[in-house]
Amino acid sequence: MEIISFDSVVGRGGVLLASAIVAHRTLDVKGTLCPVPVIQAKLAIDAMDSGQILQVLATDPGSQKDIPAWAKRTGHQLLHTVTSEPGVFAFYVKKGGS
Amino acid sequence: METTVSPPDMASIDEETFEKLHRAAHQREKKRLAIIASKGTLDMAYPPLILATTAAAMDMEVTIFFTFYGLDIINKKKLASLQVPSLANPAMPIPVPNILGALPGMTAMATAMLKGMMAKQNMPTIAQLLDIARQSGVRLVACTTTMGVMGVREEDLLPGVELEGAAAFLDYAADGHVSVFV
Repeated sequence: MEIISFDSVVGRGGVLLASAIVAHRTLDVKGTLCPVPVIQAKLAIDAMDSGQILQVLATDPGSQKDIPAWAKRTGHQLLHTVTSEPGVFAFYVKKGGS
Repeated sequence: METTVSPPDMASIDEETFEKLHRAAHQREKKRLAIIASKGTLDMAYPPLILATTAAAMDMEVTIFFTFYGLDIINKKKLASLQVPSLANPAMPIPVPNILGALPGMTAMATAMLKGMMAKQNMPTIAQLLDIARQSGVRLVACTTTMGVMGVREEDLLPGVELEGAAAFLDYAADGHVSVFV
């Protein structure tokens, strides 16, 4: 297990809060379009254990809606979405119990 | 449909609880997608296969019914040579007047252009999408009427393709949630 991403947010009152999400696996589908991100995410999460977290890195603008829709339909939990650099979306999906 | 409430309790539950249980049961139900693929050009082979593979990744149950020219998509001899029409296609990447679109070589050029654009965006080919579809349990069905009319034999089709008519497809689609005609 390794720490993949730290993202910092400024909380109410200007207090800096740091939240760390630990991903068990990273899937890099940058440079692909629909249907590739969702298909690859499905294949990746199938090989993981429930409760584990998958990080998906995508550049398809549609993935901002597609990954949440896929997670909702398949019983996985989208914990967080970050735009880590311009045009790159990082999704953190926790595998649901099956 | 599963329910956690036994019949005698049903009368006493309030509307809100009923709504919650109903929604939960509905969400658990496996969604079913029924697609009709009726076109045999390269550009029109993509939408049914993209929808089917995505739906399978979303845990949906999927059938594609290949009919008329759409049958070429699952024809072993033809699926690798699907083309983009250069005639009567005002949506070409570079608009071409019909009179030029009719020239020899224009269809090949339009096809090469789309293939190049797809490859540049790392899009899977039709053959790759068909592989993904089959591996993820998408049912591929050939319309037997089309096979008869066009003289297509079962051995011309991809292995595992099922043969059905309209009634069997409608029977499947009638219990479905989403139907798409391409």
